[in-house]
Amino acid sequence: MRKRITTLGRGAMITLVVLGFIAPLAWMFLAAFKDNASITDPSQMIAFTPTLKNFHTVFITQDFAHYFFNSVLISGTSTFLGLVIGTPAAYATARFKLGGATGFIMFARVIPVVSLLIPWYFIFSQIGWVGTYQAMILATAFVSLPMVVAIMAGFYNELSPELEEAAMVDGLGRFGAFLRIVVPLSTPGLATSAILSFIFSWNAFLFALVLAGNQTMTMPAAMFQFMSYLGVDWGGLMAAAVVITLPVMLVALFLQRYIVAGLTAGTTKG
Amino acid sequence: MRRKLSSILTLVVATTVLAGCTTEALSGKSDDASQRISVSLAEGVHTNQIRAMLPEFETATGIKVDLNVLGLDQLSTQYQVKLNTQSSDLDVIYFRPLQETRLFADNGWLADLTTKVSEDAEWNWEDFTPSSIAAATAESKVYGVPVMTEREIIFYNKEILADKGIDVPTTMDELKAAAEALHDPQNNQFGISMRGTANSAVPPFSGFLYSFGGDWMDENRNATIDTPEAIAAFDYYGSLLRNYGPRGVASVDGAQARSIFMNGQAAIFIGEDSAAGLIEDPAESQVAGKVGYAEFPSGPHGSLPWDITPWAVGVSAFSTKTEAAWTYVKWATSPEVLNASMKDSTSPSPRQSSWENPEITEGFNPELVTIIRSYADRAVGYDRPLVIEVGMVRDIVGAPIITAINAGDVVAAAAKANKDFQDYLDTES
Amino acid sequence: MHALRTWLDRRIKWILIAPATLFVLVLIAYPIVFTANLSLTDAKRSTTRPSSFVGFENFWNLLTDTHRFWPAVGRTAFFTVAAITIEMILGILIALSLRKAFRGQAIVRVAMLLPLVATPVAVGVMWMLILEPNTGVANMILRNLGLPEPLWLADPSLALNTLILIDAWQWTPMVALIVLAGLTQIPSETEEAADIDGAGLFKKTWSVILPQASGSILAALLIRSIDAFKTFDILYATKGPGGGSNHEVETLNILAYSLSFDYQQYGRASAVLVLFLTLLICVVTSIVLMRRAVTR
Repeated sequence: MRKRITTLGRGAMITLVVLGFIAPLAWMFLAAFKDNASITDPSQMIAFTPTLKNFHTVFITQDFAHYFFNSVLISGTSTFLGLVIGTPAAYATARFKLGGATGFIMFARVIPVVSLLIPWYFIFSQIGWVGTYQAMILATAFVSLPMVVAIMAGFYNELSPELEEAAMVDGLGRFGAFLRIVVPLSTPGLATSAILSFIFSWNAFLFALVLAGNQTMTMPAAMFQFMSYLGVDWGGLMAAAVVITLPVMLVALFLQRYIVAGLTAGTTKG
Repeated sequence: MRRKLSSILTLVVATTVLAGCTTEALSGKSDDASQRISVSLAEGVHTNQIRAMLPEFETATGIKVDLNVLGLDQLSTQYQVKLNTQSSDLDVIYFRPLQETRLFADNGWLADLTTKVSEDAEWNWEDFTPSSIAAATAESKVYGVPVMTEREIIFYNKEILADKGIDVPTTMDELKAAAEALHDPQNNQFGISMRGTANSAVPPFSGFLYSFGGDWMDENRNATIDTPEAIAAFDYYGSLLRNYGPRGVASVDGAQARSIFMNGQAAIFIGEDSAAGLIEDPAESQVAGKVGYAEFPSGPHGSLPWDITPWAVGVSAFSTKTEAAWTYVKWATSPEVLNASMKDSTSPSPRQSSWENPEITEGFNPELVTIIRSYADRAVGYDRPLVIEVGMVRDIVGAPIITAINAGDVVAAAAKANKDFQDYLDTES
Repeated sequence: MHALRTWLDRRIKWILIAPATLFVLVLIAYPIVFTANLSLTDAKRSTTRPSSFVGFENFWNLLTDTHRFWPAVGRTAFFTVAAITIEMILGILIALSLRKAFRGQAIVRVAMLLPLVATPVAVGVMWMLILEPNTGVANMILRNLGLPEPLWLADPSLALNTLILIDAWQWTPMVALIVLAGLTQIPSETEEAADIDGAGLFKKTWSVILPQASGSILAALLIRSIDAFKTFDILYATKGPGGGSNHEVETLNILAYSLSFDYQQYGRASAVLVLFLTLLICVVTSIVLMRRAVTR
């Protein structure tokens, strides 16, 4: 009896949770297909004539195809950069107990971004990188690097060192063992950290707001063009929000296992 | 399983490399760099016109223009960052003269255009209204060319006023009575819509301040926002919005105040005349064709609205392409472009000749043109205190507006604001 | 060749960690020097104008500023503590209820992942539309139910609380997923032992299950604390740079932004950033130490 009540309670709670998390997003998707008059009209909450006008605004009037490309390029490259320099660092952290150095890398996650904007812009303008992809990529790698290090360190902590040790006995040095044995074994961890750091790079807003030029603008900053002097174009804004969030949501749908693994990497142990 | 994983990784790497290769092509390094300029501006009526006409400029001059169109806050942030680092990334910059001319000039961020503007008689600098020229001038140097002017007027919903048999208000008392009679919050119908956030409310409030006989400061730069006149204006503005304004008015900014009127939810809207085009656009506004216009109401000291220059265009002091940038500025402020902006996009022109040409004023409702003409001899040339750090000062002097909206102690708030403002003025130089 | 390999192997830990450390050092060193330096000057209007050294005056002015600074500290603390409390409680409850496998588990997991991966500025504008006082769907529903209609983000006294709820909506799933991962590691014998002892559901959860997941719980707490303290995107997207008319959602991060980019008071803004960073480091260090103490 008690068991049944708990099951029922659990069922109710689970339904509520699902609804609570999904409903607002569903509303956003619906609004993206409404014109501005039906968004504010109570009688057209669910039943309305869908329109693609907002997506026309997003892709034709506002150059979102270009911003989309920029978002892909910048998040992709900065994730790649984060993996290349973050994975060895994570390995070193896990195997050699380099608390200080790791703490320093994690500092990148703690420091408030506002304090970086003007100095970074200054550095980039000194070397002629203002408004370039390089500048945006380096800035965004600041988001991906600590994430890769955290996830991969968690991964290596759980990866038994036996195989590497065997390889070292076989004459591969430590370095060789890392390159030939550890890296290939790391594919699940690499995929996990790539996906997660891609998502968080994709969502990064403040760097783009300040450091991007018109050629390198990414979508989160470009979205503010819908909240302008002319008033908030809700339909356009929601269509833009859909265009921004849909890719990461699809990633979440199809690769959910990796995201969960990434979020929880290194958290179940101490 | 392993295969799936490695294919994901390969995909990431491949996209990255591929994208990296196209970077060069996209950043346009192949063009002649000296003929490629960046133009930064905010979304708005004038901007729409520039977007439409830009190809003409590019073909005529061979100069390629990168339009960098942003929201107002985002544009302002980008200016701070880029000009602080003296970056040559910016060439042409659109700025808000009353907000930024003195700050930018004082920082050495704007190129001095004084000799340039008088070079070409045909382009005719003399054609710009004296007040618009003054707004873009600091320490007798010209830092920008005006692109737009703006005045504070009453917009009203003819249908709602006719329904309730209310006459168009001409005085502050009538305005209050009308707003009261038209206010019906149960039916989502509000008497009046105006800006309610401290910073954004400073411009609309200033017309009330002047008409009640107050001002921000006297000629010796002593703060005067704790005078009885100023307090009466704070009280009036605050109680009007508190009692007859939209729900949540303390969070209503410029765009929202206007869109509440455009949704048909407010009977009266007091704001900038350049919004007329948007308000009369049937695709954007539910009140298009039902809008009446009226002069700013008179208070104890008459009707003293403002007539200001919200946008001017200048050249960054750090631009390395000043000639091309100036060519753009001249084109963007030519009679051709400014007349077209006024006629097609209702961006009121700063050129006197535009207002003398009936073909151009045709873009505006005749009622509106009459009102605008009537302002010429009495309007005030600023809608915020004329200081260097306007951003901060607007927060200081706007604080009593919020206190008034929230029915707080306006006298105390005005005294505090006056003291803070005076402290600022004393240390400004 | 062999010599090179020995050389590499002997220094391997430094070689492996060097690129990442250098990357962070290069990008962070100048900003820190720049900010620390500015915080001791009266720099304003532009960072390149001549400014004079004023010692700790900016810090003193901030510490005595009851108008903007201390309220911002209070809001930062309130936002962080309230958001994290809600997220931890709900997250742990959700994790507990999802602990055993059931039909439809995949749907629940996806439903939880979606808010978590959504772009924060998009989340901000989405809630702005939903909570719009006059035309938003939230008030439309409340109106039909005959309930009072709050102004949500437009009400200065309610805006911060509303943003806390939005933050909780987005980040509770992260806590839930992390704690859930911890719960699934608990060996089933522990629980069976508790069942044999006849412990009630509450007691079993409180004194047997949760302590075993304390590592995960603290990890979730650490990650969320850093991010909640630094929350910027949703505040900026919904209330703009000044944190609203009465600065009602102005946290330290937003204050630093406003002082820099709206007021051009770079000296004061830098002092805020220095204090903010110090505070962040203290909080992070204490949670890390706490976590170490618990897991040992």
